[in-house]
Formats: sequence, C-alpha cells, structure tokens
Amino acid sequence: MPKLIRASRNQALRPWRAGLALLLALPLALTLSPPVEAEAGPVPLQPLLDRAAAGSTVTLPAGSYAGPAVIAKPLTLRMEPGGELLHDGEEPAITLQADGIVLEGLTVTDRQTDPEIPAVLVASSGNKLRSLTIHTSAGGVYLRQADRNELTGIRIDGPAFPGRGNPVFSQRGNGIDLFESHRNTIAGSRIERMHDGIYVESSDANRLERNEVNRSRYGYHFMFAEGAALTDNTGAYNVTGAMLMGVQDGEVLRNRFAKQTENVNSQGLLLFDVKRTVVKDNRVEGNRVGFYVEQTEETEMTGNEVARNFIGLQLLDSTRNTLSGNAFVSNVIQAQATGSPDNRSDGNYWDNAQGLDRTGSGVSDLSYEVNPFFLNLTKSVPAFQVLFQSPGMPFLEQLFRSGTDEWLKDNAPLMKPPTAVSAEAPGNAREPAVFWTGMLLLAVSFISIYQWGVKRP
Amino acid sequence: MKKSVMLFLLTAVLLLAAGCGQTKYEPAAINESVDKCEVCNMQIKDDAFATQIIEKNNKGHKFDDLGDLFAWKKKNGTEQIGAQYVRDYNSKKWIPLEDATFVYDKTIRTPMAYGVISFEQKKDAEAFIKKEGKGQLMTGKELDSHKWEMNKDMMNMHGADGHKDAGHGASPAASMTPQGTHK
Amino acid sequence: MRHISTIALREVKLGFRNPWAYSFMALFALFSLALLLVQSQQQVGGYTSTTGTMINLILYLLPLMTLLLGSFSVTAEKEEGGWHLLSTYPLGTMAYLWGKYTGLAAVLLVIVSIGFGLSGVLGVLLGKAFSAGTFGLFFAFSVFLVLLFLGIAVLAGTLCRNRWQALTYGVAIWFFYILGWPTLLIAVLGVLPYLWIKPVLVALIFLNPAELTRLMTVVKMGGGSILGPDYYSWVGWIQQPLGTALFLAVCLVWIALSMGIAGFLWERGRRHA
Repeated sequence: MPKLIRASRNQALRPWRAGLALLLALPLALTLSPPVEAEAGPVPLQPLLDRAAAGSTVTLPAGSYAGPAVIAKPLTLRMEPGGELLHDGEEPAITLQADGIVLEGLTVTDRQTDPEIPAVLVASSGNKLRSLTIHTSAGGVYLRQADRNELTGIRIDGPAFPGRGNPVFSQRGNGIDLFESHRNTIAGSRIERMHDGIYVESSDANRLERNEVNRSRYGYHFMFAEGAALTDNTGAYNVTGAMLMGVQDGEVLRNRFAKQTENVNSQGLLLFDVKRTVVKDNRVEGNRVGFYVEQTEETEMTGNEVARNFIGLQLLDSTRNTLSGNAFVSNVIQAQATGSPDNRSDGNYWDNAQGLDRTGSGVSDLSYEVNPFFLNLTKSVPAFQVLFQSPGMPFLEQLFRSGTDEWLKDNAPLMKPPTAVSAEAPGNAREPAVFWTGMLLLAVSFISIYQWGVKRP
Repeated sequence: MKKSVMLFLLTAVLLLAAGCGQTKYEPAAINESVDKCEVCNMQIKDDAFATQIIEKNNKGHKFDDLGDLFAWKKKNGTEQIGAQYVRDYNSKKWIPLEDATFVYDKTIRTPMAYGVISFEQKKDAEAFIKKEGKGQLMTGKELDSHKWEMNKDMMNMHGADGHKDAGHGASPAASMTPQGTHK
Repeated sequence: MRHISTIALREVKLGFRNPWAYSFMALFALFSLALLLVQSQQQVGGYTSTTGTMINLILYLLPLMTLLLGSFSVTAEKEEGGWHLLSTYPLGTMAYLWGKYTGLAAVLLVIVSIGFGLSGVLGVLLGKAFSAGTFGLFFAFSVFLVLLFLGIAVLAGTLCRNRWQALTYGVAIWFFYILGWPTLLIAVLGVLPYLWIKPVLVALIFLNPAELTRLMTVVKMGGGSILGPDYYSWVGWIQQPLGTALFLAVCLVWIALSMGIAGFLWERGRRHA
C-alpha cells in the first residue's frame, strides 16, 4: 500500500522535475555495468563483454539483453534474477570460445528454430555453466570439441506439444549435446520436451549425474562413447529413458526410468553394441519394455529392479553377460530372449516363478526358463504381436519346447527379492468408489437372488 | 462356427482379388512416430539418410543409415531382396540403390557414422565433393566391396586443428555440423 | 415385449434354482478373489502381470461358463418339454429366444457382480484394491464377454439336441476361441503371402469376440503400445471415443447375428415339427 501511494505522488510531480531527476540518474547508471533501460528495448550483450577485461566478472542486473554474444576471453558472466537474454538469429545466443569461462544464473530465451543451432555453444574447455535456464525449440547447450566443462543446474524447456497424438520430436533440438567432447560433467540438470535430453556422440569419459529428463525422445543418448557414466538420473514419459549405443567400459548406476509407454518403440533402458559396462541398481518401472539389450557383451547387469513393465527384459544376440541379483516384479511378460547363449543368468528374483526350496538356502531348486517362441514369432511376423498375452499363447508355447539348451535360464532363482524391492505401486488401497460400487453390486445381486431364487410366490 | 469359416473365406477371396497384379516394389513412406531402424533400433527420421529393403514377399525393412542396410544384408543374405531404396541427398526422393551415386568420407556425419550419402544424379554428387573439398565417388556396385566402418572417433582426424577452427568463431554453426544434418 | 419379459422372468427363476449357476458363481468369486490377494501390490491398476493374469482368468472362465449355462438352458427346454408347452401359446420364436437371452444375461451378470462385488469390497478392506478405473474396465470387459458369448450359446443350444451335445459344442467353441486361437491363426496365416497376414489377422480379430474384447481392454488400459508399430494407427483409433462406439456396434452386430441365425434355425425346426 505505501508503495502505491508513493507512485501516485511521483506521477503528480511536475514535468521539469522529472526531467531533472532523469538527467541526474543518467551518469549514475552508466557507471553501473551495464545500464538498464527497459523502455529502450533489450541491451545488446556483446558490447558489455567487449568492454570487460579478461578475468573480470560481468554482472547483469534484472532486465532484458540481446544476443548474440561471443565470449573470447576468460571471464565470469553472471545474471541476477529477473534478467533475460533474448535472441533470434542464425547463430547461438552465446558462444564460448575461450577456456575457463563461468556462466551463472543466465536465463536465455532463444526464438530461432533450427535444431542444429543451440542457445549456448561451448567450443572451449574448462568452463563452468551453472544455473542456466533456457527456453528454446532449437538446441539447448551444445559442446563441440570441448573438454572438462562442468554443467550444473541447467534447466532446458522445449515448447509445449500441440494437441493429441504422438509428439513430433525431429523439429526440436537436443537439450545438451556433446560431440567430440571429453571428460565433461553434467549434473543436477532438468530437461523437458526436447529431442534427446542429453546426447553424447563420439565423446569419452563424460559423467551425467542426478539429471532429470521428461517428455523428450530419448532421455540420455550415448553413441560411440567410452567410459560413459550415467548415475542417479531419472527419466519419465520419454520414448526411451536411456539409450546406450556403441558404449564401452561405461557405468549405469542407480538410475530410474519410469512410464516410457506412449510410443510403440518405448523402453526404459536400451543397450545396443555395448561392451564391458556395469548396469547396476537401476530401477525401470512401468515402461513398455524395461531393459532392451541387443548385441551386448561382457556387461554386468546386477541389482536392478524391473517392475510393472509390459515386457521386463528383451535380450537379443547377446553373450557373455552377467545377469544376476535382479528383481523381476509384476511385468506382464517377465523376459524374452533369443540368440543369447553363454550368459550367466543365475540368481535373479522372478515373482512369477514356481519356487521350491527344499534346503532352505533361499534359492529355488527349480530353474526359471525364458521361452523364446513368441519373440522369434513376432520378429519374423510383427503382426502377430497382437497375440501378446493372448490366453491361448501359453498353450502354444508349451508345444514348442525343443532346444531348451539355448534358452535363457536361471538355474538358481531367488525365493525372495535380493534387496529391499520397492514393490509398492504408487496409489493407495483406499478406493471408496470401488468399495461402494462393490457393495452396490453385492446388494443388487443378493436381492435379485432372494427375489427370484429363494422367495416362493 | 460355420459363419466364421464363411466370413474367413470371403475375406481371403477379397484380399486375393485386391492383392493381384502387384509385382513392383514401391518404397514405403517413413513415419517418424513408428519406424525404427531394424538393425540399430533408433527412430528413423524422415531425412535423406533413410534407406529401405523390400523383400520379394513384400516385407519391408527400414534403416536409418545406408550402413545399417548393408549390415542387414550381411546378416540375412541378399537372395530374398526385391528392391533396395536410398534417398537423394538434396531432394529426399526415393531412388533404387543400383541407380544412385554415392559419396563417402569418414567425416560426413550420418546417423550411424558410416559416412556414405546418396545422390540421384552423378553431377550432384560431384558438386558435393567439389563444394566440400572431400569425398570419394562410388557407384552402387562399389558399395558391396566397401569396408563398412562406423567412424566412432572423429577426434583423431580433427585433432588440435579442429579445435582451433572452432575457436575462430567466424561461423560457429558450420563448425558444429561439419556435414549433413545428424542428430 | 410382454412375452419377452415373461420368458425372461421365468428364465431368471429357473437360473437361480440351477445348482450349476451357484457352482460357477463360487468358482468365479473364489478365483478373482484369490488373484487379487495373491499379488503384492497395494493397488491394482495399469497393464501389469496382475491385471494381465486377471484378464486371462476371466477369459478362461466366463466364456465357458456362459456357453455351458446358456446352451444347457436352451437344450433343457427341448429335452424337458418346456418348449412344447410354451409353443401351445401364441408366442413368437424371436420373443421366446430374446426372453431366454435376457433372463440368462441377468443370471450371468449377477454371477459376475458377486465376483466383482466381493473383490471390490474385500480388496479395499484388506488393503489390496483395484484402482477405480481398472475396476470399471474389468467389469465392463466381463459384461461384454458374457453378452457376446451368450448369443453364441443360444445359437449352440439351438443346434444341439441334448445337454451332452451342448456340452461338447460349448467346450469345442471355447477351445476354438480361447485356447486354440493363436495356434490356429499362426498355422493358417503362416501359409499366406506376407502382405496378407496383417489384414487377415485384423479381420479375424473381429470374428473372435474374446480377442476383440481382450484387445479393447488392453488398449483402454494403456497397453496399446505393446502391440507394436503394425497396430499404431489402429490403437490410436480405438483410444478415441469413436473406437468405443465402433466396438459397441460390432458387439451389437455379433449378438444380433447369432440370435438371428438361432431364430431362423429354431423357426425352421418349429415348422418342420
């Protein structure tokens, strides 16, 4: 209330006094770096940077600024809350060309739409990007031949999807995109509605930690990456949670991928042409396919929880992997496997297994077998997928039990889940609507039976 | 029961009539919501890198990169193939693989990094090579003896030079995507 | 109309004095309750192994139950002379058959309601409840199965002379539609040219009420993407309200057709007799 009163008094000031105040304020504002004049449109950012000395800190107070800007010397660029960098052009809003730059707190709104062009291009090494917020339908932050950068708290939002149906991703850029860039760290970032959340190609030893990617095409996508580390990340409602292709000596630890079911090719985690990688303690839940593993070798999949997916695990043409200590819980079909001999697949928990433990060892004496019939059938004729979980399928599968030596088999299924499996689905058991509907059904039924079955006229 | 059998026969006859006279193998359109590469499982973009094989029984197989088409042929053989299609790099028009001209260079970015792109006209391929200053002209036949390799580490070629180039910053967009449009 | 309701009421009374009805009721209630209790989740919703298994349990039990109760009731009329007595009244064949259909449907729906009522109430009390959406979907799924297979049952009863024959027919139809379906389909379609397989398969789905209802339920439950790229546009279509309307229309056609053929055969038998 007091503010309002003062404002109205200012309006009552005579014009010449207002003009004088403005004249007085002008040189004062110039000494501040940079000037803020909301009326005159966004302030170009490049001149401010050109004026700053190497190693200095440029602080941008609240207000609008205009890109593009190229930073060619090491400095710290910080934006205070309420600031925004606007950009619409064929080049990135900000390009980092010198090593050792720090970007902090910037909000960038990029209006250009070419998915090949990012809002922020990092073409140098050893930079720190912290707490950036980027709104764009093009690319977010792209690293090109840029090493040892640290990206933390990056928030990237693509525009809302129009209407119903499967969203079109190919017109969007990637959130964070690495090409020929090594030993970078991306942590605590959140990306929504982009093409690939974080895309890593021909780039080695990068670490992705505690990020979150939702409603994008692939959450985390590695192609030809050695020593990739994907730890403690989450993803939901993407076409695929994480996709690892051509990855060697990587680690995928404690990630959680849920609800990737919308697309006909959806899965939680996909491994293709992966070697010597550790996939441990992850949780894939409620996806179309939990783990899809193809042409993968010497990879260790342990301690994962695969729950409530349509298909828990699909294993194709993969050998010499270790698959143990995992929990397969309440998947419509727990696993499908073909062309995958020589895997060590003992000691998992399958909640639909017929367990028999005579010795009390916690391990069942009956082995758990994965019948490849349906997978082979649908690979040769995909149209037969319509018979998925058809009540007559088990009957047919029993007829095809030849060559079981080649099957994926767990010779020592666990009687209990290996770790504290969070088997509880979200939601609660208190469903008053169900209770009262049930009561109503029972009441109507019993009255009917009494009326026409018991009572004699 | 009888009715089911009757209806089934009727449907079969109708389909027979509809299916007759089809001997040409037409390329199928790419649907980005549905199509994935049969070899590498990636979503297929409706772009110039998409390729497809149609078997003699009309079963189609789509790929996101020409290299994956050859990977499929290596695994499944070529006896059952009715037609193979690639796309013109500029117009995205489907053309039979045998009639196309190809350009290979390790550094051309394609979805699976095999580095081979296709053109309908030889002169367009030559123009591409001239413009980019690199690339090796190939015919469809020569592709069979081509050593299909994914360029997994482009860093080795760019080396320090590549880094410096990017540093000049005359055209950052160009340095981001040396060739093609890959994501 | 009055005739239909008279016959229907008579059928309901006969049905509730039939020990078979009560044994099926017990069986259905027992199994749906057992499945609900055996699973570990707090809430049953979405397409998971629990709901998938429940769908299959319902598919194993309900069509067989409907086929047997329905066809027995029709043949019993012939064997025990009920029809001879009724045919001395001015009663149309179709009114008679629709009356039987309505009455039998009422008895079967009471059986289904008791099963679902018990699962719903006890599930909530024991902390392992259905989610409201899944509960409603399952109930609708069961109702459609009963209504569709009851039409087939009346037709089968019309074709059969006695209960033994009806039993044979009922089990054969059940085996054909439920257990043997994938085997038959894969064997038959395997010899067709590749491009025909999918259209023929889709056409055949409309000829199997069990598969049609099952796929409808799976898609409505959010499991449509499991059917893969081949059914992408199909699934998208079913998810719309128009898909539900088409499903209802197909159900009506199914019931009308099976009842129509039954009426035609019955009428012919009546004239010959």
